[in-house]
Amino acid sequence: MAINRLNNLTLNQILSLNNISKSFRKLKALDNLSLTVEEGSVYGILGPNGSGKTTALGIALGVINADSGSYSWFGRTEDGQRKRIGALLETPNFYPYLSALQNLKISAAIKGVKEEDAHRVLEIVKLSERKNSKFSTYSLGMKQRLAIAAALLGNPEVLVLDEPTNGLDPQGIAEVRELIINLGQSGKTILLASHIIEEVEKVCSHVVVIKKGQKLAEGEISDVLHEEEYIILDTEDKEKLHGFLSNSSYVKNILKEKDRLKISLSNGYNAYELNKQLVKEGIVVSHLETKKKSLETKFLELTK
Amino acid sequence: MMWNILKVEIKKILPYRPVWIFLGLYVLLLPLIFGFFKNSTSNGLPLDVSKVYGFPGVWTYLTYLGSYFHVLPGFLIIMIVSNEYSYRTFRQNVIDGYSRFELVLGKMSLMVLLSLLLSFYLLLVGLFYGVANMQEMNLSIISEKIYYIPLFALQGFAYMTLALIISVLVKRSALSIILFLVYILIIEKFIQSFLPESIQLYTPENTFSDLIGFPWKGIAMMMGVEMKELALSLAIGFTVAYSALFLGLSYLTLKQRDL
Repeated sequence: MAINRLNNLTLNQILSLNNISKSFRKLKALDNLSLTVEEGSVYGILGPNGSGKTTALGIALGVINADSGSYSWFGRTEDGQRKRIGALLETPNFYPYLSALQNLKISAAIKGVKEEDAHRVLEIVKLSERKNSKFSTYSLGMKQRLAIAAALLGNPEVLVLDEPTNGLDPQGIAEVRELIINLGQSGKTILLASHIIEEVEKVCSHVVVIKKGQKLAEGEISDVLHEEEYIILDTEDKEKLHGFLSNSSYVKNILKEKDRLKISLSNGYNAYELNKQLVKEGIVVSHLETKKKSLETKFLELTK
Repeated sequence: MMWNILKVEIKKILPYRPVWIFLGLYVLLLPLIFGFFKNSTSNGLPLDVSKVYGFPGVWTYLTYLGSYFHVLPGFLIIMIVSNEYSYRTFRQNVIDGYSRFELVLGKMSLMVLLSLLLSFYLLLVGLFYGVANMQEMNLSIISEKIYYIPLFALQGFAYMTLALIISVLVKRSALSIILFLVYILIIEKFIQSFLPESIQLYTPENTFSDLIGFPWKGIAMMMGVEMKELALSLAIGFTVAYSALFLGLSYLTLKQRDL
């Protein structure tokens, strides 16, 4: 029984990175990064440019060698799992003198997928009409869509998409996001790297936030990226207020903003209770304002 | 598996124009230049037409001329490998599922195919000249020294492995082509000059070139020129060993490199 459960657990694990470090000359791109992606999740890797997202995915996809650490796909460490994964890493890489269709046929042959599947994926990304044009004649957006098509070849159970909306026009961005949402709902496991917080928020179920190759936060999207409340306070006797708040269990942290205090409350408390407590202590506030942190602020704060 | 890998390599290069330009040059120039030998008695070497163009001499003279043509498929391999770097398609091939080993296997299979195709072409050219200069129908005289054709195939493959390791290391096509030529023409001779005489003949390009010896060796020796060449069995052994070494080094280089 216990063994069965253990087996199920490892089966559900699609990708795990264990203490991966990687330096490019003096630059430390990844610093002991670990993460686990479970089956069926849409897992976002959120971080500013240069935070190590592509490096992490490149290592998982076998094109970059880690300095230390290990990774496994589907619970296996040996090479050869990549044919089960559809991936788009950084930039679309194709033979410029070949047509879109010829390029996809090469990818299909390497993956061991039937060549006819190229037509299906070209249809999905709306490139069928231009399938016989050379890749070199494609616009950036079309190249990106072709790369997504290549990732979809063979209908893989896992998709790795590194900045998939890069270079697309607004309509293209909306289409690709919808495609990812639909794929996620159809039960596929998706890894999405992005520096755009709305994209991760709209599409993902789980997220890891990384900066300078280190993990800053990880968890379900609602836990990591929920909109946090904070309160702005002002009063005559600032010393007394600050002294009280510093020692209060209500308060998670205090920031001085101009001449006011900006605080965030511990879980389970709200402004009403805080105010009641202040009155009890004989502190009368001249200003009390509840605000919600925008996702951008949250992101900037996380990656500060 | 090997067949599938070769098919992918063929798909990659069939519409690539330089492939057809280089192969076209090869197909056109080889028989033309070989034909010119007839008119070039001015180089001091007495030329007996029936000896050079008839069987079995045609195999030694034609493969000797052909050995200078190996640089063309060498250039082609360099351009193909450099493209894989600059288009980042080595990276894409790995993402799609190839191992680094299969990347090298792909190029190796292409090199085998090229050397077989070109050797077959040489066989046809040889038959053409040989039959045209044949006095009497004699099958045994045709097959005499025809073993120069498989030697030629091995030689072409070996030069391509040298082109492969250079382009895998250097990544850039123009620089690789220059290095490839300069290595063959200058660097190896330079290295040889530092080696003790007993091992001078065992440098890579020299073992490749000794697979098909200098056809005017007899005359040269009569004129008092000393010709130092490896025994054929040694040349074959060392050529195979060097080719394997270059392939292995190409694999190790790709393995430890980020793509």
